Amino acid sequence: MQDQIDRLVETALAELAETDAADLDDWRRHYTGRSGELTGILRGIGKLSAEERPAIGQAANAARQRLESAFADHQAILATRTRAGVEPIDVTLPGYHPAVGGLHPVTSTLRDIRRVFASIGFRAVDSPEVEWDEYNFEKLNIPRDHPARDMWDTFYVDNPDRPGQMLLRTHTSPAQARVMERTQPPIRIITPGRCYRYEDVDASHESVFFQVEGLAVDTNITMADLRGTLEYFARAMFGEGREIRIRGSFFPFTEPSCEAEMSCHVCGGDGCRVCGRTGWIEMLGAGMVHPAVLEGAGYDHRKYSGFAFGMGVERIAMLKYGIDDIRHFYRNDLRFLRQFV
Amino acid sequence: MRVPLIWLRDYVDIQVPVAELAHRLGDAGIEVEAVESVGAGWDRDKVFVGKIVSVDPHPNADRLTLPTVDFGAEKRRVVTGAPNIKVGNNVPFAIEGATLIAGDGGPLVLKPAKIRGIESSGMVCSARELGLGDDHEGILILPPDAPVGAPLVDYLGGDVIELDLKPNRSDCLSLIGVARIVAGLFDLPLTLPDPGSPRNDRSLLPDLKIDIRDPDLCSRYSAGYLHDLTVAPSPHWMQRRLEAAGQRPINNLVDITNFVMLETGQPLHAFDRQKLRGDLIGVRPAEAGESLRTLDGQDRKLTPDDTVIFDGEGPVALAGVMGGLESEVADSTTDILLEAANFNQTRIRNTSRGMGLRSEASRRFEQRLSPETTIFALRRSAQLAKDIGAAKAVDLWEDAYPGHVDPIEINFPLTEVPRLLGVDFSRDQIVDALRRAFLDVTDGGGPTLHVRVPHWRADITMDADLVEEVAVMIGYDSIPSTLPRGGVVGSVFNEIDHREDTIKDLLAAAGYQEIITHTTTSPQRLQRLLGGAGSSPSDDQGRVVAARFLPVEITPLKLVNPLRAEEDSLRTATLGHLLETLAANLRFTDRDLSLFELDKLFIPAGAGLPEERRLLTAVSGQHLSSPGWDGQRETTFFDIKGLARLLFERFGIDEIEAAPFCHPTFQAGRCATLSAGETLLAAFGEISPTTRALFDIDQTAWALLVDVAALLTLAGDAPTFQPLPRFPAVVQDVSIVVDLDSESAAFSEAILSAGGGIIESVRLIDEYRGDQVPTGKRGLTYSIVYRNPETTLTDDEVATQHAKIVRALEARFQATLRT
Repeated sequence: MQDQIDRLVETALAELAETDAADLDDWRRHYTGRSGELTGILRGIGKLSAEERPAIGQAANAARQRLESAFADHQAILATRTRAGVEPIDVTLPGYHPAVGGLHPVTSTLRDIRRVFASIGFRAVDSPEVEWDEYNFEKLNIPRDHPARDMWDTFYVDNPDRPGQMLLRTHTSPAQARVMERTQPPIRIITPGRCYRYEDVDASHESVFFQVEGLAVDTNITMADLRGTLEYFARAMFGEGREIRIRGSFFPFTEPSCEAEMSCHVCGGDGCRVCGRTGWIEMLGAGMVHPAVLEGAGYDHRKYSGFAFGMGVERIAMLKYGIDDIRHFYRNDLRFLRQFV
Repeated sequence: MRVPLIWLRDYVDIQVPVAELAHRLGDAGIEVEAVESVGAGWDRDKVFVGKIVSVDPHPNADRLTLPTVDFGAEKRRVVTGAPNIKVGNNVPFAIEGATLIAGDGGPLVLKPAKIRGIESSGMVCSARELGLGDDHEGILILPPDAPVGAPLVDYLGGDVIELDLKPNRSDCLSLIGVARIVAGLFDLPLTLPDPGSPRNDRSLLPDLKIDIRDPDLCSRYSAGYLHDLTVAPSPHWMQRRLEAAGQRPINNLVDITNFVMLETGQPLHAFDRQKLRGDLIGVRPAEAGESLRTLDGQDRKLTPDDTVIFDGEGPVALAGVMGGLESEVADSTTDILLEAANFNQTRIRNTSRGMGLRSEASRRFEQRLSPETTIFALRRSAQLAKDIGAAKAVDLWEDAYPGHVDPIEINFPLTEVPRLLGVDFSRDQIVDALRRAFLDVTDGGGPTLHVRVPHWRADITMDADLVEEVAVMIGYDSIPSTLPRGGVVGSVFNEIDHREDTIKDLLAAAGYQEIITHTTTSPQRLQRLLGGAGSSPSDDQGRVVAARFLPVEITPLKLVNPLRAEEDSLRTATLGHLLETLAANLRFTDRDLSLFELDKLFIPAGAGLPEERRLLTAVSGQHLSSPGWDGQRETTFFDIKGLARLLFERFGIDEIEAAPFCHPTFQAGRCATLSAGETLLAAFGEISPTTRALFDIDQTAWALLVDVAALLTLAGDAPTFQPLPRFPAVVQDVSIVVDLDSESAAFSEAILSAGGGIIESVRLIDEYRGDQVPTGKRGLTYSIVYRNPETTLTDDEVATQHAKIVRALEARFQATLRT
């Protein structure tokens, strides 16, 4: 009989939820009324033993109270909903979209990069886009006619007074020389900015792109500091668990030089499409500031050492957002840009 | 640089999987661009060297034949359409189950087949079917000494690693150089060929004088001598190595020069000795006006920047780049002068670039080659010539070496390793690493090591270079991760202004989407901003706008080598790029086209670096969103002006004056400048129809241009807190009728000044033009907030002051109250 009562309460409550104002009274009559179902069940109580009767009687009263109270609540809610002048709203209709704009994904990525490096004491400084050969190459230990110049295909700017001297910087590295000649160590800076390369554009190369240069110079800077700094950056940008590995490389303005690779943030290093099944993603070129560059800035290279790195901002953005073609960035198609708002 | 492993193993017994080798080289800074496996798909038990033992005609087809092929284990008869096989030929032979390459490049798994009624249970293969090249006309005929029955992969297959060398590692432009690194990295013995000691039988040698005019042109010129030539194909082992390295075998003499160049890195050039005039060979700059017919049959005009090899009568070769046609080795050649020289890298580079002639030789000369290699290369050539029966040889005829340089010696402080790497390697580890890099280390037990740098490592000149060798040999992976420690970093110049972030955030919040465009343009693209011929002229204020925001009349900086004509200059204005982007996006939508860019334009500054001026540029199309699922409304002058005001207020600039101007980019009467005191901050307005027509924008467009430097210079400090008012305000409106051509700013000022010090703010809330006011008039409604900060205003005080204001407006402007 207890089961019978429980089932009745369940059915009654489910039905109540679906009942509107017009049918409320019917519901009440049907379940809790004088000749309602609950009363019907109680009629059978006489067949029970004297021991069972009190418990069932109690249960029946509790059930009645529960149904009456649910009835009262439901009645009150229906009354609120149907208050005069309030038209119920289809809550599934869409909301109005406030007209907000957004930042370009390169800007957002640059900000992320700046924020990460700011948190370990690197200040962001500016440096000219139109540069002298002297800063873009010579002060970086890349003399004229050196075969290493082939590593940077360069746009030159027509300047009759100084032919062949003015150019569009091919990297943000000139900032190294500009900062060092104006200040004394300790130095910890990054330089974000636009760079230019005289090369054909394809899915992974742009002739105009953004780089971030990093430079730390002090009496005690080591390659271990470089590795740690990049590891900190990789984890802040792409999540805990990122590892950095460094491999040999060559840049005329660093010695030793290296390439830094990051364990793949997509597969965690197991190998996937993004990392070309190697588990590692090329991140940037770096190294210890070349003694000739330090000396060129008037620093004693036996006393001071430094590290420098240069990373492509679009590359970081492509990894972060899964963008497969660098050409999207500067076509400024709103269907692309609005994906990053 | 292609490195076939079969060739590399001549010098170092490297047996690790090719992927591991490639990885270790990459770790060491020798980038492996690709690994190519020739014959990786040739099953050892399905693809063999076979011999044609008989060829029968096909009974049912004239163009097919039935060769029987012996491939060691058995003989099989197959059907082929190939026209070029003969009895006795050695050929690649595949049996059923072998995977070859089909005509479409896909895999072809061989199955027994009946061709025109005859069973064929195998296949003789073309180069293309084996993946060796494009030739599919005929069967690949193997040399007569090919081992019949051997798996083809043993005879022709093998891995090739392709290196993308950085300019510092010219030593790796040779097999021996790569072998040295591999030996060092894997700690394996290095076995170099031994060409023996000099064998100079001078009695055989004709006279020869070497004349180097300037040691700067050529640090060394060594000549060898080959005679009694027997021209023939070179042996299979040499051909196979050359082919795998990407050099086509020609004949034994040519192959030797190529083989030795690839092996040692030293380019060689062969002259027909009989065609050289006089007993003289030399190096000098070309004379102005001189010309030379090169091997490719072209007449080359030379300049003193080119270097020539000359004989008794004139130039015979373009040094390091290409030989002359006159002295070319031909069938009639009886003896050869073999040149192994070391030329000035810059001059070779300029000549080969200037003439568009880049060869394996010039590529090497452009790098810094060691002059010490010439003799070894000549001896090796002589040895090979004798060994393969190509010629009798005298390894060294004459040698001029005016540019001799002593090897570099470095006293290397061991402390440099931890100072630069941040890790303490033991003395033994460091010494071992340097020795594995083939550096000659003397360890006297003191704080420094004495290191002699071998001649082929021109890239090593100082301590830091040695530190790199240590890191490479021990492995960069042993370097730990730390963060820089030390003092507080001082202020540096020209710090990036974070307030630009605020500007961008504000624009984005106001509904504008940031774009980033290229900073290049062309004069034609810039001129479009002026709307073409017949557009309206500028007034004085318009010229101020032009100079600050749109100085397109200034000739922009030109690129010497633009990629495209429409990107041949650096922009002197940003607006064009935004209008172009607006037009491009109009092809997809005409909703919410509100764009901004905060970036540079470049103002030429004579001979110096240009001014890189930062401008905020915002543009809007005709329609703006308004609340609702499909809400939109027309963009107005006041939307753009309001955006500017929002921006200025954000930087604490509240007092702004607007003034009209005329400039062809803008629609006159619908544009204005905004200034704070004497400082021009911005210009904005509707783009003139003539200008937007040139940008293919077929709807109204609006623009705002803000001088970011001026804005940030005027920007106030952080806002200072104002106590909240303790006494209530009284708000009263006043509606006046004034002349149409009046300026509303004057009325608000007049209201304020007549306010007796109890007006907190005056705000325009409505402008009315229409029938309810007389012709030539308009109605303006201002909302005035009265408040006394010291006490509660009484109704009388407010009424008295309000009446004074109305009288002032009537008196000063002949305004009437609108009721």
